[in-house]
Amino acid sequence: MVTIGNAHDDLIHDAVLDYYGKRLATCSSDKTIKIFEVEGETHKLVDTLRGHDGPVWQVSWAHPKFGVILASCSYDGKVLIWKEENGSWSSIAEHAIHQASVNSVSWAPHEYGPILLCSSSDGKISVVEFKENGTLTPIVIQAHAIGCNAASWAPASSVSLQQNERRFVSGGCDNLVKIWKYDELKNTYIEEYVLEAHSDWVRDVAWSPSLLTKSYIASASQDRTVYIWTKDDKATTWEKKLLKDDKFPDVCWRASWSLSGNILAISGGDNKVTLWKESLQGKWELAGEVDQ
Amino acid sequence: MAILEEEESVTMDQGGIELDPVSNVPIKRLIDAPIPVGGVDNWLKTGRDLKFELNPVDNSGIAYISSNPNVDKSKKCFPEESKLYPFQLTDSMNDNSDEFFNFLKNCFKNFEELIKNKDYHNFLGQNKEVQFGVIIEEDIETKNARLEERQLILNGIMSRLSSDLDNLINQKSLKIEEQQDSEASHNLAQLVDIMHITNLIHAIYFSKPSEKIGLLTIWINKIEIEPSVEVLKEIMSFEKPYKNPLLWNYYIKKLVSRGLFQQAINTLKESKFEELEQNENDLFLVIEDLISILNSYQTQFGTENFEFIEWKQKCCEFRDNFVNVKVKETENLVIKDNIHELLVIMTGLQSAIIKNSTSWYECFVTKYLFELPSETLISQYLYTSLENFPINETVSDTWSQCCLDLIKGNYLNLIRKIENLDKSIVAYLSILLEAKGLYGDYDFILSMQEEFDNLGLNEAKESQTISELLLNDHALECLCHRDLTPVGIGILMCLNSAKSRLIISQYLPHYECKTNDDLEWCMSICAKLSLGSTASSVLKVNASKLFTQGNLFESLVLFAKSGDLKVLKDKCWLILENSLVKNASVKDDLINSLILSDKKFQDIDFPANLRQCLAPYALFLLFLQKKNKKIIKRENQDYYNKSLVSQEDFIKIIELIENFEDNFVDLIKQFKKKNPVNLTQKEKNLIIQFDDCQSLYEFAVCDETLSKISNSEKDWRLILLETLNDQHKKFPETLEELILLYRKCINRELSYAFLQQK
Repeated sequence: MVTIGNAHDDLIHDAVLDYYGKRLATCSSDKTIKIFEVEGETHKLVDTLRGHDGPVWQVSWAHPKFGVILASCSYDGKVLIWKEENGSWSSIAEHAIHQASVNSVSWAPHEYGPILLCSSSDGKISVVEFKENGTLTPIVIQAHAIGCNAASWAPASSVSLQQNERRFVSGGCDNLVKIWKYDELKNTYIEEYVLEAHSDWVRDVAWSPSLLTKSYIASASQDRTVYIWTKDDKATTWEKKLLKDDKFPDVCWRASWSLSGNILAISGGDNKVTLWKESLQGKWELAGEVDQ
Repeated sequence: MAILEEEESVTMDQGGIELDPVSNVPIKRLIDAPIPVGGVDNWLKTGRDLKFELNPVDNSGIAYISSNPNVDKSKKCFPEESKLYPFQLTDSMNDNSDEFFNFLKNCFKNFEELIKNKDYHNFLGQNKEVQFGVIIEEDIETKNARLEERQLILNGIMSRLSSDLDNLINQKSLKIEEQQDSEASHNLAQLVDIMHITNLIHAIYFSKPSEKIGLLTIWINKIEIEPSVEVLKEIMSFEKPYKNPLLWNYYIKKLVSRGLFQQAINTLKESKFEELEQNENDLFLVIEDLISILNSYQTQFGTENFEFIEWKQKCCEFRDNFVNVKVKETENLVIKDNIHELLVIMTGLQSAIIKNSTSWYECFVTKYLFELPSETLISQYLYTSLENFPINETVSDTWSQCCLDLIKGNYLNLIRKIENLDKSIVAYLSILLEAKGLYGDYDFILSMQEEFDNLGLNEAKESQTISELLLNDHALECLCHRDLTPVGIGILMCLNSAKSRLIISQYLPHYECKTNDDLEWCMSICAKLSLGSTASSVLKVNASKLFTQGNLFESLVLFAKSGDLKVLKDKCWLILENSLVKNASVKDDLINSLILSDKKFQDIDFPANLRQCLAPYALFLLFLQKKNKKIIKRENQDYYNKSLVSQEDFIKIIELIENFEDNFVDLIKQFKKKNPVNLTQKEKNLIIQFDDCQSLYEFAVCDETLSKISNSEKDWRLILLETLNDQHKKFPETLEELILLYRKCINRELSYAFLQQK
């Protein structure tokens, strides 16, 4: 396949394909976002979006039922929302309440509506709802001292939709993992659980997308450990289990679940990606290892 | 995803694909990657990472170089490090050619009825018939007739599969000859292997007794062309071919032992043996008789064994009488001896057959042809053949091992080996084996149930057969190829399990509807499977796409059909809002012409909920048409009686619309003087911030600004104030409250008028 040369003028930090796999959005330290049309083996650059004043860390496509919408977050502390209409791209909203770099953006499960979760180095998390009239209603919470590194939505289940329950998990520089739950009356997210286990920064958190009777969260840390947090529907506490008894050889940077939610990939500072699967006895076993 | 040294040791699979020696996963190398040969270790120390994104719909993806969060941000980035590297994952479908896709489409059509509701499971088994009470002979006859009918259905399916596979191989062979494609050649070799296995399955399990000889002959002669054309050429190069010993000691024997009777007869007739009539009359007559007896061999032998036994008796008589044949010239002795040997083979003498054979399958077929063509003796023939022609399972061809597994009844081994050759065809072959009842006790994979239990997936808890597992995999693979999507969905629909419904419901919203037919197809599937929320999701996704493209009416119709009234209202309001702000109709000729057509708006055939939500815009469009006051006044008697709003309100709205633009621009100018915000840049970027609008509104209604408005001006604030004086006595505090107030007023007015009209 043909390599796309000079895609950006600096390092690329994220590349995301849309719902149909037909559009590719990339972002870079060169402060731009590029949109490519994907048709078979060809990738045609259709637009370059400029608006950030710093490296752009992440981009995220909204569910197509909300239109062709892309969110981007940057070192400049801003989150921009971009929309394509009649073939041309423009920024339709700016969310600039954070005082430091915004490290991640992720759209909520589409059943909840166009809601964006942003985590920032200022220690805050903002949950922004985009209304049809173009207005934003942000909910800002002080989440982690020093900084928040990652946040991940809980999947939408029929029960959660009926009861209007929305949750997400966050991990930060205070070594903590926190579960947040939406409080309809107060119109904010309240801290539901604080999960303590790590002895250094929590680098990534990932809520398993599978809708089982149990919820699964993985947290990866600078302390070279990965914890799996589980909770039964009826239980009141989260149970923790080390993914492996001894420490990983280096920092654990990322944790990500497979689409079916039964395989966990951990990438570390040793340039290795390890794959893990829970055995029928509930033990986490190495399912594969890839040198990076 | 791996970063490998160029010289790092890798292994190759049969198709020439590089494999990682540890994990055995296929390796795809990125072209023009930035790492110099031998420089991986140094490169990794720079803090660079190789990241990737997989396509959610197919087997492609994008890889790129990035850095981990701790790396020095000021580190220089080389152009090679800011490239995007598209890649294609190794497809588990061996072949992406049109011919192969057409073959798979035919396969699905062929098997569709059998797959429906998992009919293939125990298709010929006993539990299809539940009998109570005394079983009378008539019941048994009916049952046998039904089983026979079902066997014929299976035979027909197998026959079509075999013929489709044959056509596919022919098409691909022609294409390869033209294009010299090595990868395609590898795929072809795998298909040919499958054809050999399929032909044997066809012959043994899915044919009438009368067809077996013909099918076994086809099977063996497709495996290899024996005797070769070169041998024939050599024989025919003689002026009198019958004088070439090769004809008698090799060629004819080979043809006959492989069931190629007609070819043997034709060769003999072309050998000019008639010349023997004068000098070697006995020999001449023997050859004549040989032709006659070869001619009388029926490939339909097997239906009634006595026909074959009769033929064999004649053959034995011929052999026994052969001792009386006199040969005058010694050079013709070779003819006599070899004909005798041939007759011994034809009478089924095991030692002669073994002596003449060169492989286990040749020995096997010759025994079947001449000992007794009976399916009950197949395994016995096989064991004798293998005893004399043992095969080394580690080095022999896959097809050969599969055929052995088949004859030995090792069906799971057989399926596993075919799966390595092709993951699609194996699913269909497995269905046939399962339908025939060959899996016996192995047809349920109970561990799946345990797994579902463990995962707590009660709704997905159902037993799966081997075939269903393979079929599911094949269906999922088809969903990765747009051309095969109907096949994938078709299979899942036929299986009709909770799991397959779940897959369809998750997949359909991702299916890109390029045409209206595509959308109709998606809707028909949702309707058949009663997937209401999936249908709604598909409609909304496509409605949003159309809205983005500016096809407003089509988009609104889909939103209306989706049943999400909230979104429909929002979109209709957005249209009205844009029109109001621009003081012009929206750029969608269809929606405008439908509203303004001669037909009354309410008579036009589109969803009632859409008609209701679009009513404000329809009204506004009529206002725009009539906004020339003179026309309004001239028509007042005629128009206002029909209008939904009073004359007074109508004029107010016209005034508001006409003056809004001027007032707004004027306000912006004042605002800019007071706040040095670069509005032009913002306008350029089309970023209208709500906060800015809020400030703008607050500025517009503050006492200082209001004091500058002359009472004689037709300013919107004065009109608003007049209305407010009757209600709240003061301006709304925020812009949001103002918008809500406007919307409530308009909605109230329109709803009232709408109800009155009804």
